[in-house]
Amino acid sequence: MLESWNDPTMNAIARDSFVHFGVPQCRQVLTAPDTALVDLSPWLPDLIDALTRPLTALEQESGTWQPPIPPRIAMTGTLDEVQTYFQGDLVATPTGGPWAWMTGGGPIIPPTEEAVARMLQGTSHSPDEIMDMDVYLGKSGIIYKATIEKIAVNAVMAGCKPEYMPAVLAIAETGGCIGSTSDRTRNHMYVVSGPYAKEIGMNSGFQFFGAGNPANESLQQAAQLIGINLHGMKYGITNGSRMGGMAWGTTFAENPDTPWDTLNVDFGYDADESVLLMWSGSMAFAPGVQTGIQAPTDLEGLQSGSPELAAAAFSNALFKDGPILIFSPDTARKWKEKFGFDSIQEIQDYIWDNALWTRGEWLNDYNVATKGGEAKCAAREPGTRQLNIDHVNLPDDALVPAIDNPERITIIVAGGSGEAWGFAGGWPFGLPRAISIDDWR
Amino acid sequence: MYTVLDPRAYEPPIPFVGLAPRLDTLEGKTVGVANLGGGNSDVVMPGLATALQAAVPGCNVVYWRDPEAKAENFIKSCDAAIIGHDY
Repeated sequence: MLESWNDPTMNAIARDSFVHFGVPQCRQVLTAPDTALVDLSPWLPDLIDALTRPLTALEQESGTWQPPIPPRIAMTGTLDEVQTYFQGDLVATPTGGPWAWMTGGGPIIPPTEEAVARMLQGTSHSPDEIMDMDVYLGKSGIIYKATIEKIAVNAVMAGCKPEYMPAVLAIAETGGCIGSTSDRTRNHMYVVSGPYAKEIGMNSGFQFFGAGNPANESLQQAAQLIGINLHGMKYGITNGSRMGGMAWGTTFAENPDTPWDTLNVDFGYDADESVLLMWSGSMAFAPGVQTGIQAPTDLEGLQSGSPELAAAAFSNALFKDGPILIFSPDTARKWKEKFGFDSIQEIQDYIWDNALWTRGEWLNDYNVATKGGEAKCAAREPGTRQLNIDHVNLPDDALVPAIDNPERITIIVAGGSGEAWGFAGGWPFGLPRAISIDDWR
Repeated sequence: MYTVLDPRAYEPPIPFVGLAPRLDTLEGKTVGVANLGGGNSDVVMPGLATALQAAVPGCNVVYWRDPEAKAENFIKSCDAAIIGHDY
């Protein structure tokens, strides 16, 4: 294997990948740590050596390796000793950390047998039931296996109450905060839609993005612990994000005070069903009051947004895939009553038709140019309401939609009284996913 | 005192394999340079192919780049392959 640069962090990521992809003895050729490196000829002798030097006995070995299986009982100690144990040795790499071992960096609630047994009262599922950890953005496709009890241990550590368990299990089903080996920023966000949110006292009003609510906050902590302990997420190794995500397990509830379909209905569930929606991607929210948006604005427009401003926001957004528009309930009502959007679909269609950039900008965008975007769209039927062959065939200065298709746009209503709006992009891979919370009651 | 449970899931057994047999020489062999895209791979990988060909004139260096196709068939057609991918 030829490493593109000799960086200890990248080397650690590579070694971890070799083991988990089943080629632990993969040879490495380490180049200079230069992101502008384009000439690899100085390393050709090493590369040729790696291709031709006879294999050692160790390099020829095949078999099966069983990673160590964690015990059921971790340790016994005082509260301080428990905190120290779970925090671990605070591993650092030359370019980041140090990071804790089995926590998100903060203190945890000791997961005693009694506390875990109480937590398990929050679900009808057996403690011994095994959940295959869906490594959706996984580094290697390795499917970790966790019992419901293990998930409950993490829920206790996070400070969850037993009634939060169905949501914790739904989060576990999505993977939790696992990040990505990519060096891009990766965020994870969860939104609860349906009556369950009120049952457990989640916040969907003022400060819904912020701290202060026990359910929102502890579910976020649980999402972080699930990523670490149930998916083997290691900061700086399997999670290579250079800056880290600002929405790292951010969890809130949709405000049901909406003039349109609630998210559960929009995603195919009944209004009385409770679901967890999960987003994971490169971008977090920006408030609608943005000086960078080039569109006519007035005070009302800044506060409540306008269709033109929202379209301009997405036209100018750094990441355009998987866009989200979020409205306070009062702003949602204004968008219906003043701007005439009677349904989510009408908003989706408007944004898709009016958030535009040039064909040249589109096809030269890094995410499009390097991921086969042009070819994918060229294979689509003409005349369909998605980027298709018609758009590919336009001249470079022609305007095309900035978003792949209208259904990629999600509308969320949340927040307190008064007018506010926000937007976000960069949630790719076909997300969001909707997971039934009711299945985990 | 607290007796606490371990929060970690377990990994199933991981099958591992030895490295593919090495070539005794690149002379007379076909070495594929497969560019899977990303980053500056469109500059680095063709350059690597050119440099390798110059360094071993007797080697048949074949550069491959096809966003539409999977690289597997190309790789299998070579005696050895260098696969490049950048995030």
